[in-house]
Amino acid sequence: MPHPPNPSSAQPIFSTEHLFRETYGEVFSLLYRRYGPAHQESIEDALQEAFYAALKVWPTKGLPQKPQAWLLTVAQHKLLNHLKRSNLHQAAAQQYAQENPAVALCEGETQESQLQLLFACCHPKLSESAQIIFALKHLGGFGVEEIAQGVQQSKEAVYKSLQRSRKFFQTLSPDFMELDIQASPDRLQNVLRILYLLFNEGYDTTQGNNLLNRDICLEAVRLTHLLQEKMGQQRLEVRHLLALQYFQLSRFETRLDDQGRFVPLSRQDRSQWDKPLISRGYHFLKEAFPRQLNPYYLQACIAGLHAAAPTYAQTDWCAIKRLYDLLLQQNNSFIIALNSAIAVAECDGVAQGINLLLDLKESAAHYYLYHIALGDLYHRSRQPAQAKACYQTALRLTSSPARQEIIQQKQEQVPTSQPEA
Amino acid sequence: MKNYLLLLYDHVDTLQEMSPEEMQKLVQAHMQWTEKLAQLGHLRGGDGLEETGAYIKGKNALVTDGPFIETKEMIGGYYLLQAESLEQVVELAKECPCHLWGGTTEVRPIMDYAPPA
Repeated sequence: MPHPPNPSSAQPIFSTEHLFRETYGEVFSLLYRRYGPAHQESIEDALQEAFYAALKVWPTKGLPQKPQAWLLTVAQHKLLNHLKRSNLHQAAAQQYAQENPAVALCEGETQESQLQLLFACCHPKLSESAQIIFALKHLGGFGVEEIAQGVQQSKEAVYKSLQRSRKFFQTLSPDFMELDIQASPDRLQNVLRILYLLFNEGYDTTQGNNLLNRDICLEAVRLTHLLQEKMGQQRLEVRHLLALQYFQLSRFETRLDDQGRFVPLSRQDRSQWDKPLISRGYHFLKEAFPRQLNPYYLQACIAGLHAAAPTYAQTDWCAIKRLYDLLLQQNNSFIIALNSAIAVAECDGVAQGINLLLDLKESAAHYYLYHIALGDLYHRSRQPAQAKACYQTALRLTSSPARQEIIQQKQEQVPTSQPEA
Repeated sequence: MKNYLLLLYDHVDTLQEMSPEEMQKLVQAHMQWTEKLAQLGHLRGGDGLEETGAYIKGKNALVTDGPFIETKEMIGGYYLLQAESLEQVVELAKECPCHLWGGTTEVRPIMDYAPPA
């Protein structure tokens, strides 16, 4: 009987929930680093063939003891076959086989390869969107269709972006993967920004697939952890970004209702916030007090204050207001100013909040959330006509049905008209 | 009990397009399916087949080399099953996860003629 005994078919077969996805990221970065970007397509084919081989072998022969090592060995074998078949690269394959007779999956190497690939792909000459797509595909092991859903682009657009990135990396000197990451502070800032955006991609609530979104957030956290283990002691902002991600993640489930509609912070069920994740957030924040304030630290502090507040009303809004002031000193963006105005409204009163928002009109008038925030404050200060006008403008500025539904709900809560005398 | 050969034809294009996550789900489903066959006492053996190989054809034994991955449907593996009837094997084969992804299965009873008494 070829099939091994399995204790219970109700139990998950794989110890890791996303074994194949994780293996894809590990094996891709390893092989890409070893064989170079010239062979990227062969590497991708080899990985796909390794998964196919697992499909054919594991059901009859049983799960190998080390499934990841099995997949790496098969992928590498398939890759060498590819290279041998194409005469062009025969020499390279032979040379490689001579130099590296035995290759095994060694944890240190896969982690290092993934970090090197992360730094390599956060290349300033690629667009941020292209960097995110490349990271999702080749570090996260997501499929094109999953990425398209995650970043809200068409499948074709994702394909094209991946193709452009592949060709771009092939134009670079082959040692671009060997960047000294400890000595590249500028590139580190790029990497942090991409990890921050990658997380936000999954955290954004305006689109449907919540499971996929959670996976994207967790992938961002996983990569930030890799970075933290390598350089979290020297570069505190890595720990701060991780803290921010954990605070956000603790609210992941409560930010949507049963029907998948957005629930604002003020109406979230705080008893459902994930306490262990909040503790991890504090852990990475507390041990890393910076000499210089960085935006991840300030945002993590804000998120931490929210996490600590028993209710929306009992939140330390005045502290949050001061943190936003510091953030604004670093980056005078209208989105931060918008959030700052909301904190001001809670700390100093609605009227002050409205005044600040009115000052922002020129830079933020194109942004639907600006009009929602202003509408909310008008509503609270009993100015229904102004509130309605703001919601009306917000409606015109977004085409997403999910967002429009939120705005319409807000509109319905505004009293229709002043009772006539 | 009679013996049957179950051939699995994979729809290669579909498999090549699948994401790692989808592949994992397929492998998982497939392992659960063979596990069930084993528990019910149907499974006698089976193997996956490489994509490489050769066709040897006709009078002149003309050899054509693989790989056959270019063809749309390819035999990916076989199972040797035992069951009471063809109908029973058909019911088992219908549950093979390869059907979820556009694959085909083929059941062939293995010839077994008792010598005349």
